[in-house]
Amino acid sequence: MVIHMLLELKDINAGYGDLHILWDVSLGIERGEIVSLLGSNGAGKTTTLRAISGLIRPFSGSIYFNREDITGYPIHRRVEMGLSLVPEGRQLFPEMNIVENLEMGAYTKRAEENFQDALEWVFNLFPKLKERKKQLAGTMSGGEQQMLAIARGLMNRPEILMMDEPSMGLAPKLVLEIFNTIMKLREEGVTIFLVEQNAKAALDISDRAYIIETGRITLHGPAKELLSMDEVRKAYLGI
Amino acid sequence: MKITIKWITMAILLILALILPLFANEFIISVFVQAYFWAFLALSWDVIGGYGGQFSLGHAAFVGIGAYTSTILLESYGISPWMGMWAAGILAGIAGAFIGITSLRLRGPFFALATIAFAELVRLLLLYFKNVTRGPLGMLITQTGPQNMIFEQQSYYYYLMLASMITGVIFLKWFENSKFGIGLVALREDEEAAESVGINVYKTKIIGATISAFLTGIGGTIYAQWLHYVRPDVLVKLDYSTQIAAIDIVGGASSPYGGVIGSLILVPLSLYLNSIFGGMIAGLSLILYGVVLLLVVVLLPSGIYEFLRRRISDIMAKKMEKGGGKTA
Repeated sequence: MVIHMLLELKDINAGYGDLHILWDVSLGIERGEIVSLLGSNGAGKTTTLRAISGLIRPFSGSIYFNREDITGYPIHRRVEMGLSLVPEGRQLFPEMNIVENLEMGAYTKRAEENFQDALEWVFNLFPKLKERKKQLAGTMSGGEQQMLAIARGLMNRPEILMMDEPSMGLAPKLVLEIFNTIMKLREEGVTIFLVEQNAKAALDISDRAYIIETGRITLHGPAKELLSMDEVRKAYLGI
Repeated sequence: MKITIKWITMAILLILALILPLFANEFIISVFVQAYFWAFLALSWDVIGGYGGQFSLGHAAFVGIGAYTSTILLESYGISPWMGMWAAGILAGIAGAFIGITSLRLRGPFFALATIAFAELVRLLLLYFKNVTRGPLGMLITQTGPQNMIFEQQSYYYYLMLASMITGVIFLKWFENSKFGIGLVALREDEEAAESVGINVYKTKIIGATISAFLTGIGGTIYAQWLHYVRPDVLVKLDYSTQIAAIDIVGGASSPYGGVIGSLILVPLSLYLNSIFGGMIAGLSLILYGVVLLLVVVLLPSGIYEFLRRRISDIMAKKMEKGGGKTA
């Protein structure tokens, strides 16, 4: 078996207790790509992310990161290696202000040394955050919180930034802003793994995409090809 | 300006605390000895209970372990409590790590219940191993002299407890800005978010519990020296465990001053109520004490310290505004 991608999942079976959710899920992400995982509610998108980030242990299968088998590694070790997760629902530290939240993002040894550089970098990407350094995260609007959550993930200088439904619950204009930011991040050299229900927006910016249905990968290919496929258009784009 | 006022206030309070034994009688001093002792325990509890948000109701177990360790070392092996207190802290710390490893995967009320059970276990073990602990009779401290941490006057205990408490405050001041302390606060706010930024949540909690228990164990040694005896049902009881938590919460959890304020109010209050109503109707003083606790928790949910801090910064802000208006 040849492992050559930055992140690779091989035949992952996972779930919660007796509940088997993911069935032989295999996928891969190359350095510098934006890859999306699309699917409807309950298809197994979040479970896949939780398996990659280490929040759950797969029943079987392996996860490789930089050719290293990380299947048994605890979460903090994966973050230390450069796998950052921007969790669903944003999950900031509400009683901490913007800078403190960003400091938390640089908790790892990997991030600690270059803290000032990273801070400058994310403030450049998100000038709004710089204006309100001392605002408590809990008092920010949904769009701003999402920006902060992404910025916090970036403080770790990740090799891969994994995002769980960054557009969830946001107004269309903000969704656009978030997706523009994701494109900008790719230009900065960040590899992105995007989990989305908003298939149209995700396919527009992705290089490749996987479609997951009831825990199985049913389709994958270049985003442009998927966009033009009839079954995808009907099922996910409503066209 | 604000900072200098703060330091001047602190300096005045410190001087008052230092000269108090010169004026006060033995009884008043002994009230303060107890207040400082409970403050030290509340500050120790704050590490895991306040900053870490892991609600322990078993801290009396660490007081007991600390008190018994140094007392057994002193009475059976002739080792001075000045040395024994470190052994006490370490043994209590190991117990804290043990309860952390076994119970900290539990969340919320389940962890609290596990700590209650743990304290009960410690009490039963102290009763069971009669040949070491002398069981329900307890142990009397017969050694004397300052080299054995036994003093003739209350004022020596007063300074000892005061020093412990101030050490506790300084430790928490440092701790709350340390990387470890910040990690503990983060996991209290949101465990999954803390994990996703790379904090080893489980390990951080266990170390927090260990530090908290270590400090509490040292407190246990000093308390035993003040009491001159140790007994399982005197030291390891649920009342004590809840008292430690209550003092910290009433005063203001996750702050270096909350435990001090809570203790300086609640300990004299409970002693006073006990002396006034204790002889009249059994339990009346406890009911009144409970009412006061309830009132504070309902009216000032974030604790007395936080309430005072906000009021003071409001007043300061208003003054600043007025001052600014005049010059403009």
